[in-house]
This record gives sequence, structure tokens and C-alpha cells, in this order.
Amino acid sequence: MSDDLIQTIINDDRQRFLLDLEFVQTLANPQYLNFLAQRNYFKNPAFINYLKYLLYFKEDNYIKYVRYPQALYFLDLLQREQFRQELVNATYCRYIEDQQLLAWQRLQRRKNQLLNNATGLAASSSTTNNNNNNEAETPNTQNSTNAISTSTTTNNTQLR
Amino acid sequence: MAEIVQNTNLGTRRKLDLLLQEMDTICREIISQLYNSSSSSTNTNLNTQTLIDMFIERQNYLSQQIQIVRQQQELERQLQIKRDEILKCDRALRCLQTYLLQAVQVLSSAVYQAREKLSNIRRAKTFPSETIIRYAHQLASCYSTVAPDNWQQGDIRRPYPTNIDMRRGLLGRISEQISQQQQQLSIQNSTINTATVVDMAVPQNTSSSYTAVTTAVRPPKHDTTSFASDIFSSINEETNHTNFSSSDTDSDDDL
Repeated sequence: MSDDLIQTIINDDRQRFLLDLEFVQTLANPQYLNFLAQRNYFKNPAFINYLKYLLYFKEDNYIKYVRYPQALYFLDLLQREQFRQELVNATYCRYIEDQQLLAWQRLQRRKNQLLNNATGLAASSSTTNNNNNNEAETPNTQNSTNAISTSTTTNNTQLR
Repeated sequence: MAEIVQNTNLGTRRKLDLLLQEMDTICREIISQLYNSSSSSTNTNLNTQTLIDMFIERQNYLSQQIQIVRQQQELERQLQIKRDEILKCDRALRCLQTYLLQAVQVLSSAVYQAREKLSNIRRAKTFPSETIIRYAHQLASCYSTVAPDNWQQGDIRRPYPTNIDMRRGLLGRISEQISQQQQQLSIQNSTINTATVVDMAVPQNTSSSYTAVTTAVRPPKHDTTSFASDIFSSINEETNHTNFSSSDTDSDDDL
């Protein structure tokens, strides 16, 4: 039964793409990466080839389906042997997870600061209001532009 | 004495000192001559008269010099006022200089960052703004890059798909069906090893990469599989719909 399901998925291009998309996004989860490492999936050359194959999600046509762009950053890291070996270590994965959460919250604080500055200066004068609205908008568009063109560099700056 | 008074190299104080010394000596001479006037007559009278003339002359010079002193005092006062003004201006200039240096630093960093941004813009691929905004909205709606405002410690939301999300998807459905199949087979024949069942399933896959994928998800820990699979399949249809809704609308865009 499951074999039939797998066969139907493989034969249907849409289902295959959905499967690839799901898997590549799960790579953003460091606990899952630890799980994969501990079960020696990273020692399988076919799996490593699959990870290399999944790099096609960085192209323009496919990147717009990725909801968790940090996954592409991890995908790049997973191409390196040393990173795959380090992932067996659970403390390392917890460290990655902590850094992810801290960066996640730091961006939220920065966003709130930008919004507060924009609203604070809006009360002073209309001209400065227009300028700061432009300033508050352009970082967002810049971030999304970077996300589409080079999401990994955005994640680099996020996780640093 | 006239040369001394008109000498511009000598200071007023020196001139006054010299005048007073000469007047002092003349007075003493006059007084001594008057005191000794009894001894000699005509010589001393001439000398006394000359001395008195000289004394009067020096007194005039002295009064002139005192006028000059008053003028010079006034000038000194003016000079002091000007010096105070110069000090004030100097302080103001220093303040402005520090402001200028701070402004230069801020501007230089701002210009540098603006240049970096511009180079990024030049390097970046251009997309229609609607596409960018739609993608940004998608990313923001699942809180993948920026935390939600009310997030606290203990909140299960994460910037990556969690176990629950993974079990809802296609991978979870496949692994559920595999585990159901394994349970059924183990119930039917308890001697068959589950490893061999998995091994038999392996060659039927067209690519070996999918073996790793289908068995990669952890089997669920709960027993109500039939109830859960109904829920998961319904949610999977929703995710399919949402995953491909963007593609349906994006295909209409001119990219």
C-alpha cells in the first residue's frame, strides 16, 4: 500500500516536487538534522547526492515556494562534510537551535524599533514623516529582495 | 629731557620714572641751594631760577605723560574686552568643531552603508514589487524569519517546521502508512522481522534516494493512527492547496 503511494508520488511530478519542498524545509529544524545524523543518513552517498540535488531550490523559480528560508542556509552547510559530522553531537544541535531562536527574536526587536522610530518621528513634522516612512519601508523591501535573490546571505547576517 | 619724552622706544612707566627722578634731584638741589643761599649769592640765584624752570618743564612733561597714561589705560580696557570676546568665540568654535566631527563620523558611516545598499541593489535580480511583497507576506505569515510579537518562552512556534508540521505533511503520511503496514504484518505473522519487510520494500523504489526520505521521519508515538491519519490527510489537502495556491497565482505573473 505504501509502495503504491510511493509509486504514485514518484510518477506524479507535482507530488515529487511537493515531497522535495517538504523535505528541504524540514532541514531548517536542527533537531531533525541531529536525528538524521544519529541514524547515519549522512553517511549514505545517495543521500548526500540528494542533498546536492536539492540545491535547485535556490533558483528564482523554486525559491518562492520556500516558506522557511533558513533551510536553504542549512542546505548549503550540509554540503560540507565537516558540518555533517558535527551534527551527530546533540549539544551542537542545541547550540544551533538557541542561536536560531535568538536571531529570530533579535529581528523582531529590530523591527519594533524601526516601527517605533517611524511613529515617533511622524509626530514631529510631515516632511520627516515621509522620509522615515520611506526608510521604514525600504529595509523591508530590501530584506525581501535579498530573500529572493540571495536568501543565504540574509540568513548569514541573521545567524551571525 | 625732551628727547627722552619723545622717545617712542621707552615705555610710559620708564618715562614717568625718569621724570620723577629728575624732579626729585632738582628739588633736592633747589632745597640745598636755598639752604646754602647764605654762602653765595648771584650764582645760586641763577642756578635756582634755572632749576625752577627745569622743574616746571618736567612738571609739564609729567602732566602730559599722565594724560598719555589715561589714554593707554582706556586702550588696555578695550583690549581686555576684546580678549574676552575672543575667548568666547574660541569656546563656541570648539563646540562647533566637536559637532562637526560627530556629524562627519555619522555621515561617513551612513554614506558607506548607503553605498553598500546601492551595490546590493545593483547586484540583485529585479523582480516585480508585487511578487516581492507577496513573498514577504508569506514569510511573515508563518513567522519563519521574524518572531511573533507575543512570543514567550514555552511557546511551541519556531522558525522551522516542528514535529507536528512534519507529521502533517506528505512525509508524515507516508511514514504513517508504512508503520500501519508494519503493524498489520506483525499482527498477521509475528515471526516476520520488520527489518526484512523494510528490506523487501527497498528494491521496489525506482531511486534509492527515496528510501532514505520515506523512512527518515520518526514513527508517531500515539496509537490512534486511523483517527490521526484522517486529520493529517485533511490538513495535508489544505497544505497542498496553500502550497500550490501561490503557484497558481504566480503563474499569472509576468516574471
